[in-house]
Amino acid sequence: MPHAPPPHTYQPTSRREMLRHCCAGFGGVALAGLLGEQARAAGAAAPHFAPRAKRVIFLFMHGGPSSVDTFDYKPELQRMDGQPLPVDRPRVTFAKTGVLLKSPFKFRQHGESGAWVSELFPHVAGVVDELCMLKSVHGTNPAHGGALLALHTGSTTFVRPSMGSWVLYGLGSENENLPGFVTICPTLGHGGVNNWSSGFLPAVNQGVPLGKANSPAGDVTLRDLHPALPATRQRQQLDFIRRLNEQQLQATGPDRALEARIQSFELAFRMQTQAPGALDLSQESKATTGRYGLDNKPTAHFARQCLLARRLVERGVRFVQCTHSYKWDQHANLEPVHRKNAMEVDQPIAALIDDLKSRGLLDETLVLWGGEFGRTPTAQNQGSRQKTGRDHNPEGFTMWMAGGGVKPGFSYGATDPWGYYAVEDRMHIHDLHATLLHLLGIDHTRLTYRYAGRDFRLTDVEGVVADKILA
Amino acid sequence: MSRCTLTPSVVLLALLAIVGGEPKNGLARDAVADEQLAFFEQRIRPVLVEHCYECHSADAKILQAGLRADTRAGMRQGGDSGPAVVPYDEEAGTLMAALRHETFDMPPSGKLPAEVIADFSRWVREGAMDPREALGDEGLAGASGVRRADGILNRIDYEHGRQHWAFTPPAEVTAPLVYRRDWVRTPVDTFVLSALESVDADPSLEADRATLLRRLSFDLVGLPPTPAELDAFLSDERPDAYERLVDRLLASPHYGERWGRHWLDVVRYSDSNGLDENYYFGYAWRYRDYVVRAFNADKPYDEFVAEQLAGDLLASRPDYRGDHQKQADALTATGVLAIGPKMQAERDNQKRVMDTIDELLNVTGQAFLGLSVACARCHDHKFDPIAQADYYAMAGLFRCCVGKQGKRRDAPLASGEALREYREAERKHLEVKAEDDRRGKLIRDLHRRIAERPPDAEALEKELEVLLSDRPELQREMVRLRRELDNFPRIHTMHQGKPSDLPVHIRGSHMNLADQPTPRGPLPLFDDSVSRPAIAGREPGRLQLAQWLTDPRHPLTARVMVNRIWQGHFGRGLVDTPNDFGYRGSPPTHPELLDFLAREFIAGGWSIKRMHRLILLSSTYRQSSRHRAASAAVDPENRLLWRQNRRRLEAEPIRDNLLAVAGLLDRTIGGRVFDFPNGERVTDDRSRNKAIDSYRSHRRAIYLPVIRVATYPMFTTFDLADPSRPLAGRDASVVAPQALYMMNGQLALDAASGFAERLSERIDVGAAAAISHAYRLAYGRSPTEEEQRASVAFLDENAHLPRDALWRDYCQALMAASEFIYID
Repeated sequence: MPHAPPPHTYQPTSRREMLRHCCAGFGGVALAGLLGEQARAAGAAAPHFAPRAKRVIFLFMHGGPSSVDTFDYKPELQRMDGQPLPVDRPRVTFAKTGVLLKSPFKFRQHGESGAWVSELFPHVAGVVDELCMLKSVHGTNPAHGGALLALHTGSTTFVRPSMGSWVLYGLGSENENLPGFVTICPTLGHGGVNNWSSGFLPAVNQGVPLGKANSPAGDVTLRDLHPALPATRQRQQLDFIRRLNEQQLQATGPDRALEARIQSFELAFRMQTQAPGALDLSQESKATTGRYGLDNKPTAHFARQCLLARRLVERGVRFVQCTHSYKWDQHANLEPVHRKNAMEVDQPIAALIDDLKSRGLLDETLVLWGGEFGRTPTAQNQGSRQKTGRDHNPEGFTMWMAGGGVKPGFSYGATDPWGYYAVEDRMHIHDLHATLLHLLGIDHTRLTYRYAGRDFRLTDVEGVVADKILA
Repeated sequence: MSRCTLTPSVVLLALLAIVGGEPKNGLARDAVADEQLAFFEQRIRPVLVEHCYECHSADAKILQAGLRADTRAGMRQGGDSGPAVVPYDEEAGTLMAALRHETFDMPPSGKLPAEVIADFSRWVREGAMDPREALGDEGLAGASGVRRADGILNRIDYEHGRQHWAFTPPAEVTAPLVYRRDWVRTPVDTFVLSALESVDADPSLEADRATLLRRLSFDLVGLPPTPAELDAFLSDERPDAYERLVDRLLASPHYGERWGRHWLDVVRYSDSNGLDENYYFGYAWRYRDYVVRAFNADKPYDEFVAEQLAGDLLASRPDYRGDHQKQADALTATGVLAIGPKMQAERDNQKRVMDTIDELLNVTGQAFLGLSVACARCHDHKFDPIAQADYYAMAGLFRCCVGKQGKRRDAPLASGEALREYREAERKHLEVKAEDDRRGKLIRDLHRRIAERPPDAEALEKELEVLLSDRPELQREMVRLRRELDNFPRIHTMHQGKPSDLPVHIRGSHMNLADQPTPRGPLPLFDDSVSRPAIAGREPGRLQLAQWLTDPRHPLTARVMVNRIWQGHFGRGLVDTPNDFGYRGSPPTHPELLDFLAREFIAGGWSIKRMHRLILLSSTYRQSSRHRAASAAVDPENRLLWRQNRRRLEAEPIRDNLLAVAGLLDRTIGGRVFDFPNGERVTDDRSRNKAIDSYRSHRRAIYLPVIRVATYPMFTTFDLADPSRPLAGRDASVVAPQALYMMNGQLALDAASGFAERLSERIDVGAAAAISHAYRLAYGRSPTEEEQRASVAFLDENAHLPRDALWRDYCQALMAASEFIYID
């Protein structure tokens, strides 16, 4: 019960210990640098092998986009429209659903890879040769909360560290003035902060939220970043604080926590001036903002997120998540609302891929796109074409990756002819995590943290790397 | 039938000696055996290697189902579902059914060709000749497990496991002989000094009085000493001034707030569900206040444990029935079993029930036992001697606490006559509500019929009029009754169902149950110290669990708690993994001291305050925290306690310190700060945190709502982890966001202004007086001359600022400096 910090906090046995526990944080590396230490302050381990990707951008489609209406074309479903599902339903489902429902959207093949993409994603279809489709992803939980937690932390049951936190813990941060794991406009629902929390990992690996689900992505900022005092006056004050801290340190003997604290104020002072620049989209050219779709109301929100994501990874932020929050849950009104949702993200996503590529960042940046689950090929709330929807389907759905060491223009795995169950090269969420870590140079079985007597992993006791998608 | 099954085993025994066992020189292997060997090598082994070893061998990345197919013993002993192969009996082992895809679908990649399955069938029928070596030690741990009646193999070797230091009762220890007996104030010191002397290290000098006062104040009440308290202690020349100070602070009503908060960490206290759907626990605060009261009243720890685990059962006992407050406390205490995070939207009901129980086992295991019992949900514990079956025995104790899904889990806090009154009021309210609903329906019907303009419209309208005119009064009555109900205090409480036992869930899956339930009860691990109580069929067993835990012979309960108390005074426990005393936990730095304290704790009637005194009065505690190179060279981590540790305050006392020094702290004790309907979503997917305004309250930190998923950001910045799991302690990171908070955070700015205002009269007198007072307020001591000079220099350099701004900047700097949040 008593809280006191772990012992090594005051008198670490080694400099490395101290760096791990005292000054790593966002900006941990800067402190490490100041103290003459190598980078990777927060990291627990060097990459286990040569990484293919250094950073991750996760484009999260909260609510569950329908695979059979976007990237998983199913002629058999079109043919059997209105007929009962010819296979058993899962033991646990979210709601009762009806007969097979064909996609109301037109599919066409695109690019040299000939990938099928529905009319919902015309811009993404334009960069489809960069994408590696994962068509056999599956999870276990058919409710949003459980599925979000599973996707973000690997556990549907308990609060565990988020994948971003694991990545940051494993690799450390590359930037001195920014957090290493940023989540832009995240939702506070369906697990909320548990989806970007560091769980039992050191708190410095916590995701730092920029804004929240319903705040305009242009206005996001870091907490307490705005200086309360004019610069010269604050400098005077900080010099005095420094003097107080140094006096204390001198009087009581060496203490690394106190040393780190002196540095933390210097870093904070610099962050005030440098971090806002990273978040300032007005530094982008008109052409760039136009490409992302910043000027159009429907696309502006997600365009800002995508552009921010690029600015952040460019500056060495390790893991950035963009969230299209709780839009994709079409139990009803699939046709009009999926159309609207897709329009909001399509252009920004395609622009991001293009932009990363033209800046030479795509090779080292892994982009991951997807929702917490897909939707059933069967109909829910069947009525008019407009009103009908689809239920949650964790049994088989499509996500995609791009850049960062995955095969471009490739398609991995498959669902059954109706798009309900993953059947070929099945990829559980644990496998997705294992693969993601692998691409970052981390062996998922060796990235562990001991908590309550057990060595925990992002992938629990599961996880198989999907070797076939590695470039 | 029984003869048929018996005969093959007899034959088997005979045959094993010949063909299956080690071929011995004197024993001629006949032609049959040669043929069988050839058959195995040609038809069986290759298939096993190709299709089974990947998941069922020593080389498997993860051994599946606990089954090894790469050794003879592995296949015969089998895995979680029983033996894979029983020679001569196709039906008895799991192998054949799995190959035929009748039970498990093996191999998972697809059924093997029919002729291969026929080979296996022949192989088993002919005795499953298997020349491979017996299983080595590296395989199934303690391979000589016990097959239980329900078919589950328990591989735990308890006797061996008990050799761990923490699994035998605390030993009677005699204080060691030490040279510097003048340093010894309480028995604690002899143990510490003895360890120091063994490495030729000296303890530190006693800290000065001001330091001791500030240390004790934050340790016991979590608040800074006032200048008046400082003066009083500095001028108290009585020989027992220090003891008096300790006693005064222990008697403070704020002591329970400080130590209650420590306990709330351990039991993952929260006012909302978190996890997936973040419902507000509208009455959880009563449990929090119970904890504060319990610490203030020095409730014996054994009672404290029993009330939390089984208060609902205690409440009906005569000694509780006679004392209303005591009974109410007991009922409130079980709130701890209800405040866990639960997956509200889990569609798989059985899974939800087991997950909820698992959460309870995780918390109670870590909090009371200091063991990660929950690790044994899917398999025998990998490190500690806890069998999977033991887990389900413990789980059965909590089965009746978990019921249907529900976002409201509250009950009136009443009993006897008051409860009858409550039920009556509830009945009346429901009656009136039903009547109102009935009339509402009538009114809607009438509206509809009148709209159709029937011939009797006029009569209908008259009827409607009467109904409408009566209704307001009825609804007023309904509201009045609702209020009456609301006047009954309510508590957050767990479900109360029928006790029952749980079967082992093979591999932790509720889809794969052992065929018999495991009788519920505590762990068998300590059977040689504490006997497991009998639990009758109708009893939940939680009372027995509490009795078992607080048996004076229990190896863990007292050790775990005294270690937490120690941790609160030194920043680190004697065991620095306070929630894990098992094999993976750290060994104690001072094992004899830990045992001495544990025995003292029990002998002293489990009094927590008595333990505080024992520790706080020691020379060990009173040491200075100054660095000393000689000792640091011997013991850089200060594990032997050659000095007191310098500790950073946790998030809550940092905030309370800011408010207290600014003169803004509201010291009201108890009650609810965040007035919000029970069971409503406090955060949602639109990301509004409804509790955000209450974070601005100036009540002490312990009274701010604890909203999982949306904890107070300032607390998170200073290392409060999300309280969805038991917290063993807090981190003390040093990161830039903390500095940013002190520079730009709203509370820091408000506090600086308040602080400066408190100085204003002294500023009128002169800077020196103001500086001195500021130091006494912020650091509980007077400034040194050098510090005076530094302060004056800052004030002079910035003399161009308006007076208010100048002193505000100065005060903010004092609060931002390390001394404000580090305790020497």
